[in-house]
Amino acid sequence: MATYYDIFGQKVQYLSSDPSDVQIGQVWYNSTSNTAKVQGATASGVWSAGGTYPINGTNISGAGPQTAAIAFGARVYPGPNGPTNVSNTYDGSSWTATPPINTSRSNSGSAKNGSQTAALMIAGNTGGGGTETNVCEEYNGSTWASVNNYPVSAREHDQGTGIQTLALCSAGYTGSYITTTCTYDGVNWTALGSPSNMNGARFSGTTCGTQTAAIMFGGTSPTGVNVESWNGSTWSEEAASFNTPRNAGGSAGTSTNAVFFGGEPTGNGAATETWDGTSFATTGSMATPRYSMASNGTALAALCTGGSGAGENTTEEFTGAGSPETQTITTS
Amino acid sequence: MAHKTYQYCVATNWGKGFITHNDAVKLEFRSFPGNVWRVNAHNQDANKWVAGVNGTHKTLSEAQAIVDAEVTQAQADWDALPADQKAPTAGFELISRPTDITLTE
Repeated sequence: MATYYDIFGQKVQYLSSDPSDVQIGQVWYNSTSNTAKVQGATASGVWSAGGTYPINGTNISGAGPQTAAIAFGARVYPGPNGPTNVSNTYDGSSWTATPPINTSRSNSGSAKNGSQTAALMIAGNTGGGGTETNVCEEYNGSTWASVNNYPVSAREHDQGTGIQTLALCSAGYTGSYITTTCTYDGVNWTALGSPSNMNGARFSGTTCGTQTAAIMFGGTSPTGVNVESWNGSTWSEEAASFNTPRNAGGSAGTSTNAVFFGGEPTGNGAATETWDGTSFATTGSMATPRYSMASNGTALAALCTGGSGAGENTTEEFTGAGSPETQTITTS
Repeated sequence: MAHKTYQYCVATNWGKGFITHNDAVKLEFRSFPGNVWRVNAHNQDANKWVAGVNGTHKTLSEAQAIVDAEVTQAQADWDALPADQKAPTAGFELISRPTDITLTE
């Protein structure tokens, strides 16, 4: 029988702890746990539980990678049922309060590729029901500060993306659904106008990507399955529709490699689909169906925070297929 | 007797570690109002998970009763909201009226 050495030309490492810099396929023996291990890759996308969010928050906003994220604003429901100024950072395990935002609100857009030291909060609404605002704020890691207003007073839900100094936010709700596309350069907002407006006016869509290459999934209206992609100057309707119709979901990733999750109706609110720039594929569902959550991270490591349903103070972490995973070798 | 696909328990989601990545790879999880959790039946990993989270096993009817009570209360809370804070149509951006949930095994 061929040995590991015969096949790979190397011996299995004998280590007291798992190595930190490993390659997929690498094998070692952990002498502390007395287990043989291999660096494999996840076969399909799965969701695991993240740290409990400090409040019940729906219509909440977020930014940053899965293990260094920030969430801010929200409608506190169940509970007092009103907008909040709460902001928290996440380290991959637990949430820590930061200084609050200045204008309590929910349904804000976010430069979701931002960070714990460079976040951008875009417009939103200041009541449980109406009262849209155009107020924007930036977080620098220490304080939230007001910056130039968004061109329209609108609820933007999860329709913003990019980073604090190169942001994109599109469509929304101002009393009616709009198609407006706006960009931010770190100082000023620009409402681009035709031909940069979205093809379909909508709210409750979810956007990910950058200021020059983004994708928006769903929204109300037109139908809840529409997908539009942004190339930096125009939006185009994608031919593909996602498999499970829903609105107010979340997303993370790029315009050609993204994960789209959750949404309402709640019966469809655990659905998770990946997007490769051409088509959708169903992957592992969330444990808690929800909509109007904060969503950020990447297609391989996304974070879902709060939302409506049964998970207002819970978070879930997505690990996409193909992600590195240390596996214990067993016999059966 | 029909073969059960799922079992139910009541457990409080404490956050990180409640469902680990390894749990998620092996099992199918779904939460419902009232801290009711559905996991695979006839599965040693599922049984270990329920024990590990200090879950209390519930029969289908017991779990359904817990969910029903929670949904009924949530519907009453929603009904008491001001009209401008309710969703006039499905898919609107406000909070929708919680719908009845029917559990299955």
